[in-house]
This record gives sequence, C-alpha cells and structure tokens, in this order.
Amino acid sequence: LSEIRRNELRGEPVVYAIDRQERTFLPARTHCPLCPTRPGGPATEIPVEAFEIAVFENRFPAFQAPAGAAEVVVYTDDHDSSLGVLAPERVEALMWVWRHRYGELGAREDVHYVLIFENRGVEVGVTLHHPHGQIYGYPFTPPVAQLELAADARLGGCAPCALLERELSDGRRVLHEDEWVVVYVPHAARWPYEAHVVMRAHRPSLLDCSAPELAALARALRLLVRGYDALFERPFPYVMVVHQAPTGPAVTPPGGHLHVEFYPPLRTAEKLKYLAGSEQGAGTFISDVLPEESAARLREAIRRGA
Amino acid sequence: MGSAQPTGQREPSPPASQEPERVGVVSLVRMVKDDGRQLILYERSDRSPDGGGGA
Repeated sequence: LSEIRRNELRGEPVVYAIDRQERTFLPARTHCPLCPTRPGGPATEIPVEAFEIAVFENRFPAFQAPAGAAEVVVYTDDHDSSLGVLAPERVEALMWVWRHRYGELGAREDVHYVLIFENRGVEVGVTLHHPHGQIYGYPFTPPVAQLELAADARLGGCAPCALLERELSDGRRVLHEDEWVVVYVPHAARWPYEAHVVMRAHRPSLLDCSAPELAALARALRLLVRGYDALFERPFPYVMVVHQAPTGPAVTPPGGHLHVEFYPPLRTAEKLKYLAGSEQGAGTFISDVLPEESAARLREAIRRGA
Repeated sequence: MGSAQPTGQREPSPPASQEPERVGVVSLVRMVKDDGRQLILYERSDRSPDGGGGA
C-alpha cells in the first residue's frame, strides 16, 4: 500500500508509491504491455488477440483497495492511434466506459474522488506510448477538488456554470460550441494553450449526462485533440483531466460540474512551458501569450484539423 | 476486431457471467487476470457496419 503523508506547509497530501519506481518505462513497441496478446508474441496485460477498449487494475498502483484504486484505460488495440485519430463512435464508447468506471469506483466507500486523466507525450512524462488513460480513485478529496468546491462557495453557486456564462458572453476565447458542450480557452488560462471542454447544462458527473450529451462530449474532445495536433503539425502533448463531483462523504452543496481540462506544456512547436520559480515557489503562473491570442490560433488549427 | 478470444498464452479466469453487461452503447465482459487483477473488455454493442475502429 502507498503511504500518505501530509505536507503541512502546503496543506496537501503527498503519496509515496515506492513500487512505481519499477514500472515499465518506454518499452520497445514489440514489448508494449498495452497491445493485445498475439499468437507467438509476448504476453501482454490484455490476453486476447483483439479488443476495442480495455480497463484493468494498474500493476503499479498509486492507490489500491482498501484505500483507493488505480486503473488503466486502453483506448484501442492500435498502438499508433490516439484520441483524435479514433473513429467518432469509438470516442463516444470511451465516454460510456468512463461513465461506467466513475459509477463503479465512486460507489466504493474507500474512493472519495474519481480522477479520469490522460498524460500524452514524453513531455509530460508518459511511460507507455500506446493510447491510454488512467483512473485514480483517491481515498480522500484531493486539493484541486477542494479548490473547486471553494470556488463554488466564493462565486455563490456552481463556479463552472458562472464561468461558462462569462465565456459565452465574452465570446473571444470560445473554440467550439453546440447544444450540449462548449470548448474555450479560459480567461485566466495558466498554460499557453489550455482549453476547457464544459457541459453546457449543469451536470455534476458523467452519470448525470444523457446519451446525446456524451456523444457531444466525445465529438468536442476529438475535435480539440485534432486541432491541437494541427496547431504545430505534430502530436501535441497534454495532460487531460476530467473534473467531476466528489464521491466521498456528502458535502453540502455537493459541488461538481463535469468538464475536461487540457494542460498542454508546449508554448511553441519546440519550446516547453516549465513550472519554474514563480509557478512552484509562489503558485503564480507567468505566461507569455494572452488567452485571446492562443484561442485565435487554436480556432484556426481546429478548422484545419477537422 | 473486438472479439475477446483468449490467446492461450495466458489463461484468464472465465467471465463471471456469460451474458455481457450493457452500459449505454457498450457491452462489457469482466475477467480476472492470473495475478488477481480485474480486466474489463468493452465493445460497442451498436457497432456501425465498418466496425467503428482504428484510424
């Protein structure tokens, strides 16, 4: 089991999962543990010859029962695919997989918060190139979720609802919108090409979404990732995080508004935005591009990538 | 694409139920890996004629 300590100066937990030091690191594609197990080939994590989407408990978990969960979500058996390259109906299926895992893990007493995420690219520390995401079931409500609850209290209601209204009213940073979903670069984006994919109606989690809403969410995610890849004409690294309602002991009001945040580290095709002195030491991002400028570039890239 | 046939190289436990569960547009089959970890295979249950996968 991992050890959880509390960093009192930061007021936040730190998780020590020392077994993860031994996890598979950038294996040759012939030994990819997320590919299907093919006849005559090495055994992988998935002992079938072909599959659509697979979810399994992480062999090197940061959390595990009875104190949380860690799962791997493999998007496809195609080693060279990606969220933007998958067929639209496959991305829609992934939304239902996420929904299923959120519901099942969130129902466990030892899981207080379900975090669905994807790290894409070596720039953000990915250790396996096969297209996949992860799910952590935290045995506590982590700091970012608590900050979102605090933002609700500060803004006098659902903060993502209020911020969405502001973005739609301003309009300069909106990248895409339809009946169900809005995509925008936030007014105070911390990353040069940060973007948020937000449900238009107040939906605390994937469990509250209708089938058309999940289909629209899938379309928006795919559209944005294709736009990212078109921006610098290269696979675009990012951290993608699904934000939803906490699942632990009831808080009042319960909080949560389903949205997906992308934190891409690139500021140009070759230059990375590093978290350095101000970001790490003062908690203050210094950015060299205005969100309105990056939104204009991303809109054009989305048009090219569509 | 998508048929969950074990290769025989590593034998997972048979699914707990022969009837796949269905959640929205996907059906799922649960397995237990030989080290005890859960594995779930999902497929679109309303797949389009071209199989809906790949690039």
